Amino acid sequence: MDDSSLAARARDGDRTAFDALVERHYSDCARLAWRLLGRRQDAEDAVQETFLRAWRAMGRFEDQRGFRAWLVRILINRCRTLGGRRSRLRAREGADLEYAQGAVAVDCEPAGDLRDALQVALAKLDRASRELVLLKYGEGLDYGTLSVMLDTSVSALKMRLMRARERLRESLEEDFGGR
Amino acid sequence: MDDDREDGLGRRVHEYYVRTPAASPDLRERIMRGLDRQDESARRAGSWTWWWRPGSLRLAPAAVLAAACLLLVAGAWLGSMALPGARRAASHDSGATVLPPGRHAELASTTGPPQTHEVAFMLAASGARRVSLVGEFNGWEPRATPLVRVGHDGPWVVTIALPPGRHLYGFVIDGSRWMADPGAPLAPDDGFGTPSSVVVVGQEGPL
Repeated sequence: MDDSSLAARARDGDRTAFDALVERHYSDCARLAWRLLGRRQDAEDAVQETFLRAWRAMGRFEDQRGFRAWLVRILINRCRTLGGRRSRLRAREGADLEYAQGAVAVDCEPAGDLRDALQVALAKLDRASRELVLLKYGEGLDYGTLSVMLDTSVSALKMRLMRARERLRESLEEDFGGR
Repeated sequence: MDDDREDGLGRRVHEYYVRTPAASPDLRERIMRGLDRQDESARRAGSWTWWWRPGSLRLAPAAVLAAACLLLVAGAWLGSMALPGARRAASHDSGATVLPPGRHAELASTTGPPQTHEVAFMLAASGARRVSLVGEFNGWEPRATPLVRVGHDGPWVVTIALPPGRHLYGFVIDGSRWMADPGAPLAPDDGFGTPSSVVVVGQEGPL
């Protein structure tokens, strides 16, 4: 059964159908949240909250852009909220901005390969640019879906992505000699 | 501008992304347990709302109609008299009205749990066959809180008891069409893609 059919049943209150959607999407959500927030625990908190909210709001789901896009939009909003809360907490604890930005790059894989260079470069991007780069290249979403999901015009997204790519290249060149 | 994965940078980001370590083995189970707890909480919260459902022992249909008429009169009264203690987010024919303590006894024979306030919701939807109220307070369940139409072509009304706080809500027309309350402030986008309205109960300040 495809997402659309399951979502229609879940919208009518079928918890089993919603469980099937959880089963299908939770690991992808966890991956995106981890890359957005940089910490496994934060990411999994965001994913849990996302599915709780999605189930509460299934009555409001409209199938025009698909369940996955709707779910990811909720997830991004949860990550923004959670990320902002964590940053404020760290700031109150005396952490400096560099540490707060670096949080995106910690709690990941072993150091020493290209992925670390990318982690650091991505961590230097502003939040909106980092979201766009991960959704576009990581998730492989098209501009039409991204436009609805991020509530931004396609032309603005293309411009933002171009600038983000420039900054990524600069960071990789400066810090890692282009590796 | 080149923006697909075929160029070097896009491909590298994709490779980095797909190698993200897997989620904790028990994440799925934790999500399911959370959903179970949420469902149980919603069932408990809904257990005291039986009294306003049509056909219940406490309110016969005639009583519902009488209460609705009283609500209409009260709505007009509140709008014109600026009743102290009553705060309203409404246009002429829709909105949510928080009834002042003590006054609700004159308007309806029902009472909610302690510490709650009666809130009257009204919507003009002449073409609708049925209208229901959905919000955080009933788990966004379209079947939980139907509105009652006043007369053949009057507004749809319902009064429920809400605890103090900020409540998001909307209306569902004919079981499928979602709409925010045209007579109340819109809530900030909460990421669900459809707008909702907000009513503040039991606190001073603008709605």
